[in-house]
Amino acid sequence: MLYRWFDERLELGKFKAKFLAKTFPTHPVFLLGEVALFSFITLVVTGVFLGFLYEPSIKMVSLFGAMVPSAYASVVKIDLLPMGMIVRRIHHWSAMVMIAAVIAHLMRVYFTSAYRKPREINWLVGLSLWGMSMAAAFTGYLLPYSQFSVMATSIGYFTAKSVPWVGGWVSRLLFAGEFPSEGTVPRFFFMHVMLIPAVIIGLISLHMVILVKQKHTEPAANRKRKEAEGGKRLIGIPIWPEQAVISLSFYLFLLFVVVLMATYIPLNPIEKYGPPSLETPVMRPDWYFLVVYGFLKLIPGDLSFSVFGGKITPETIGGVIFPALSFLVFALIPFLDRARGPENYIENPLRRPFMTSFGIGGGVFLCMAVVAGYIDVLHIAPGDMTVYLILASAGAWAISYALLRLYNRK
Amino acid sequence: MGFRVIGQKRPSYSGGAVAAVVALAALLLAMAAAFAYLLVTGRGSDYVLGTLLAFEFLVAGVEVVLYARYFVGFREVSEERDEEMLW
Repeated sequence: MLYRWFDERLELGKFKAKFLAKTFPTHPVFLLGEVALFSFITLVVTGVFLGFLYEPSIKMVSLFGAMVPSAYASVVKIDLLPMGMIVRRIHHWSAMVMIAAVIAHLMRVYFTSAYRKPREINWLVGLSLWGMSMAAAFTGYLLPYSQFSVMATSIGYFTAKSVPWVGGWVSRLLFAGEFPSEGTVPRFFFMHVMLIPAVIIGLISLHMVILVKQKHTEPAANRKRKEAEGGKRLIGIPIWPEQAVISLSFYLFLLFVVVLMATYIPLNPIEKYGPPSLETPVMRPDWYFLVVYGFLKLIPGDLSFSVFGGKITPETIGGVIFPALSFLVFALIPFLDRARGPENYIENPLRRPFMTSFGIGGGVFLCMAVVAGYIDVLHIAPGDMTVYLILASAGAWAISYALLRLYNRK
Repeated sequence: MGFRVIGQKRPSYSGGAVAAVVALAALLLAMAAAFAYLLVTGRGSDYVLGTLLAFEFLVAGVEVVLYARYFVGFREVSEERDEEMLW
């Protein structure tokens, strides 16, 4: 009856026929993007709850007899509410799962060559979504205003300031002046809850519109089926209701895992770190920033020079140039791949020795950069670690390439 | 417009599945009521509430899987790749 009421006014039947009569390919790897989307939904829902209680200010207030920033006090109060700490941890864990899912999704697209013509634009949109997820995580770091928050954000501040020529302007824009200052928390709060989510929603919408327009890639095995009519027809299951029930159950199982992790595994507990103090110890950021953090540790501290009046410092190289170059390499991949014709079937990574070994070498390089974030714990000199990093990534590339060539010769 | 059905696995609507879905729905409601009671009265610790909420999602997930398995006719379809969807 309710459906009929809406159908008479909005012609829902026509909507269903046009947009829900869409085919979704049946293979588990195609669900990685959904994990990222579901995590984003969880982030929005838990973020709304947190937004009602959080105070974006560092005005000093009394908390259990001690004077602390009101942002910190409000987070402590959230943690004291029934389920408050769990909701906050669900938010944090979902952010980690979202970033991991986006990276896994990008890796799947890379290794199965699903970025090829005509899907280059969606590859770039996906990369942008990765960047924006990282930006959301970074701006969220500061909000509890604990020792960890201030320490992690200060790395970003000095990195932003180190951008040649425009660093001062960029850091003032992002951090509302010097860091830490009274304006930084409100500025980060605005970016974290308004600006970045709006951009992410826009990018997800664009990603989906392009996906609907171009239609999904599908497993290579479908190519040989007679129903594919030589590649003219996409084979799978309908979005509604078949894929919808699979996705819903998948989301519920994901929520089970995330809520269970949030209940039993603490993440950056502010009661442990406490409010910012002069004795803020050195702390490592979360895993997704460890690549940049590790790279910053490898750059010799005295490596500074000028280019056209702009000063290049270790922070510029590790925090700006290295991530920018990495993103550029990722962005150029579809344009460097020699495949020419439109391709709708995903490929077996074992059949693409060069690209697969390039991906393996790159992956080992990034993993070694993460290890570099621990050189103080591992007692490895930065120079030695740099040698290990180069040897390991070049070795992984060469060995995987040789093995894949051998495999394909057979 | 639309797609071509290649194959279909018809739903069985088995009596056992109906009983399981109804039982799980009842369990879900009971868990939701227990969660609400513990939350409102403040009797549940974060560990109890979190665990209860997590298992509520698990039960709901199992329920959806059962529903999909026994009550949804899974069709395999094909769709014209050149068919206009948006523009």
